[in-house]
Amino acid sequence: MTPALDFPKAGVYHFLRETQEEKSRIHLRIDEDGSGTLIVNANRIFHFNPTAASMAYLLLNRATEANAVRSLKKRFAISAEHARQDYAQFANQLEGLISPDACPICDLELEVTPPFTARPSAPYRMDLALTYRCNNNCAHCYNARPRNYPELSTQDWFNVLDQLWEIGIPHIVFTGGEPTLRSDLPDLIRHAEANGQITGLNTNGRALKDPAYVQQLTAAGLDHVQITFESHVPEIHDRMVRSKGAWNETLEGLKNALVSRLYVMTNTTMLQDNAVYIPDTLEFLGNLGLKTIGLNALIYSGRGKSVGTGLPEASLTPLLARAREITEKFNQRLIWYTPTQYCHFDPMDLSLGVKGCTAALYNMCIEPDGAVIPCQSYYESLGSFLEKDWKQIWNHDLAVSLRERKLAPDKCFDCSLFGDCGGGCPLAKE
Amino acid sequence: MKWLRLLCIILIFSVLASSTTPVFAQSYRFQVTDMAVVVTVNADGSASLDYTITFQNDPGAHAIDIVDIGMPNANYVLNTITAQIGSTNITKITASDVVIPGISVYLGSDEIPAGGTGTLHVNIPTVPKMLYPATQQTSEPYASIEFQPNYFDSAYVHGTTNMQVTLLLPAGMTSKEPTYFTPQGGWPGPDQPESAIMSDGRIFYTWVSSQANDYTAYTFGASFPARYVNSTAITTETYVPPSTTVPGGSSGGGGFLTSITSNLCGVVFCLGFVGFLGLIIYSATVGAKKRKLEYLPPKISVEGHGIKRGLTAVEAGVLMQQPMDKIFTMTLFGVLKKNAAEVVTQDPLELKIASPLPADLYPYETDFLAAFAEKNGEARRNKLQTMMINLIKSIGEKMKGFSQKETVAYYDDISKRAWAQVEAANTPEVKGQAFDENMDWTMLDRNYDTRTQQTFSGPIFIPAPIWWWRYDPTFSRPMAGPSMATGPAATPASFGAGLGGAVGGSRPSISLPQLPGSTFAASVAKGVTSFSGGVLGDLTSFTGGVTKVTNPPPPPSTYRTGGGGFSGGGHACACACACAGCACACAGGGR
Repeated sequence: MTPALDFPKAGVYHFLRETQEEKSRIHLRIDEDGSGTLIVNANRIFHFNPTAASMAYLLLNRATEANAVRSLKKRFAISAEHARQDYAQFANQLEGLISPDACPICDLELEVTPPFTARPSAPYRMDLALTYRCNNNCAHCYNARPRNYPELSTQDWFNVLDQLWEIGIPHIVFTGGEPTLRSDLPDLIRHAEANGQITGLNTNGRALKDPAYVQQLTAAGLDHVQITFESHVPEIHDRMVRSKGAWNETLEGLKNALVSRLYVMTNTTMLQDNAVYIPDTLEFLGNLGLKTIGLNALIYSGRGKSVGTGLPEASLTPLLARAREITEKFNQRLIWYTPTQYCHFDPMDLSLGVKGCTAALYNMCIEPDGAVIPCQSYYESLGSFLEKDWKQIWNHDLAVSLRERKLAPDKCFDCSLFGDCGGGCPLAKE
Repeated sequence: MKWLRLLCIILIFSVLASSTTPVFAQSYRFQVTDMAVVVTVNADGSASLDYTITFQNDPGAHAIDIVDIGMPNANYVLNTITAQIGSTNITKITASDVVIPGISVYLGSDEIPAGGTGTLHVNIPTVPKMLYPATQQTSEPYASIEFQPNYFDSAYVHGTTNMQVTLLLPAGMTSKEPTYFTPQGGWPGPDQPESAIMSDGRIFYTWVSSQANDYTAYTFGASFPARYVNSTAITTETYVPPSTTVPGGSSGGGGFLTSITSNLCGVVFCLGFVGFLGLIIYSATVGAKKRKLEYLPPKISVEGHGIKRGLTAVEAGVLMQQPMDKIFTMTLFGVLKKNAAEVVTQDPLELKIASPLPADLYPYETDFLAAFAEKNGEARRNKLQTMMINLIKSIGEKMKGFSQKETVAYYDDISKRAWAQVEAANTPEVKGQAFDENMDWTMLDRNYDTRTQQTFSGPIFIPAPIWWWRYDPTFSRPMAGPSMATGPAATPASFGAGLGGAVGGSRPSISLPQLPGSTFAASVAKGVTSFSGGVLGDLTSFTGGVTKVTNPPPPPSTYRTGGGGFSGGGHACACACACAGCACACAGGGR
């Protein structure tokens, strides 16, 4: 008789699910209390109680029913029959969740908890700002650091990746500055993927003009890429990024990415410079074959604080309504990034989803020198990742204040929308 | 490190867990925003516990109606326990059948509703036998106590808790005599407690953290010279766990502290909420690893918003799991109202489709008409199946991040209000007009056919809906101007305004043909029958053709663990929208 499978210690466990039609990357994070978080392809999050976490672990490890029942009996005060029934039912439910395209309604009957109420022990995603060097020079750039900011060595970044895996972070996004300026980027991707982490890249796309480089990144295991594309009008794009000829390279890079196996999306910052052209830009991207489009407003950090080209929140509605129409026409997914105050702009009205600040909650950022900051635009160090105990970083006063939304404007706390809105981006407040 | 070397048992009494009928607790979800507990150690070896717990119940969650509080042993005196919710005294406190030993505090009419806040105060004056000897390298015997505040299953409680834990020691000690233990369990606050000597000569230790939570087991403790308590105050028995009775689970018989094991050092932990009380043996090989956890059914939750507004009545009907033939009938009425088609024959159902089509059709209405353009019955059924599959998928997409339960309740309420306004109308004219305006919403009532016939029974005549001739080929087309020819478009998302406008009689006065109420009602009901028989054929078979796509049995799959590159396929990862509320959580944004 095969022994009952032991249940895992706290940590993150990685599974690759393959059928003839699809592949899924699944991470099961087990917490100290036995509860768990299931993360499917780094974009769908489900919270499990200890029983569900145990069953998921057994199922993902392909335990036979008999073995699973033995394991459950060993761990819980439950009869074999009861365990068998619940396990079988749970197996069907889990299958529906990890195959979302196969079952569009499987998660509808799940219990829904209010947004932003989960309190994970670590974020789900960590952005690694490998460098603040950049071959663009955007007038609205949120980077508040010097370009020659100190950078960790390759080995240090390997250590960072390993420690991130140990604390249960399954998703890594390499960003900057311009991360492709680091020659060791493919090595870092490869290392993260070997750990079991999903990797993404935020880039201006110029380095991707070289198909061989795209191939190098995909061979290393890169999963997705986000390319900044400010306008379909070359002059506007180049003017916004303040780099002549950038548009041509970015477009070439975008096209190269689109013919690769990478999941590709663009991001466009809606500013006074490009706002009137946004519909045409989206049409342009739709015709290129983009499946996912990202839009955001000005981030009030770095040069963004003084550039003066931001759009008032109240003016976003018609722009985004038009964007919604166009992306629906192209059957695209539209992602709106910016947390706003819902009294000025409510993304729910345009079916853009509940958007709130998730800094120091679901995502954080590590700067080139290894300092952890709440998000990649909030330049206040919570401590050095390689030197400081993670719990101290995670429970830093600023991190806690952001999680608990203590930094929201005073007027927001009694507002009925506060639960969803959270007071918008804390940087915009400042 | 201030832990003393304890050679024998330290009593840990843990007070636990409020729980709200845990077996059925899947919809309980709340925060404990504040919790303060004062543990007063008395000279007779007993302790008094005083809890103040503030609950913030989540919107949409089950009301917090009963709070179970575990006792460290069964020697507590039940009839001395008092409790208040807010300023209201609680009159019903019983021994708990969930947490044993423990008590159930019934909040009664002061239960904390969804979205509500309430503060519960519970005072347990006497819990005897709380001190145990602590042998340590000191010149005299020491007594020890450890304490674990209540905590809840993380499935039900979330958020941070402003927690304050106070140990109040017997009077008379100097500040150098007692010793506190370093808090265990990942206590986020300072290890060193606040401490002072009170006016009555008692020393207290208070640990405070605004970043604690009420789903983690924290342990606090202290020891002090035994001479400050009565000679009989210190229990020499080894503490053993009580049996646990768990509703729905296997159990012992609810016994407690009646047997003695050998010289094992133990601490008692109570896992709040789930009603589990067990023993962890620190110094022995038996204990935690052999103990089984209480079983709760597997539960999965997602973060999201409550109600998804803006669904059409047809979409709401799908979400409410209305029969497919009714969904098609509702769709039919929708396209007829929009002048996108007219019925040529009702049995078999054939449509004449308008050309060009109106611009305001929903995708499922377009698909519906495309199906009816098909003359071959089998091909038409296939297209209707495809239409339904696409409709279900689109609703699944729209509903992501929203609560199905709350959304269904919302649309159910709309249906009820629609009926209420129809039934409250004073005249047949207004009744008929109200029904016409809100027909799609009234159809969400599962008994809408019966209810329609009851509402329009008797010798009444109602003005025929302006589009009625498109549904009933035998009905005369009204002689009307251009405005009538186009007919009113359904406005499903604006029920309130639409209904108000209709009932208020703000429409232009048009002389419409009259229709016997009973005929109208029967004809409406007949629509569904026509579909289930004449168009869809065997409804079970038709539905199965849809659900095998929308809710298929699990496909064969393989899993493998560990790393390895992601090599594409249909399911590449997208941005890291960590939940419905992703913003910054997506893959970067804002560059």
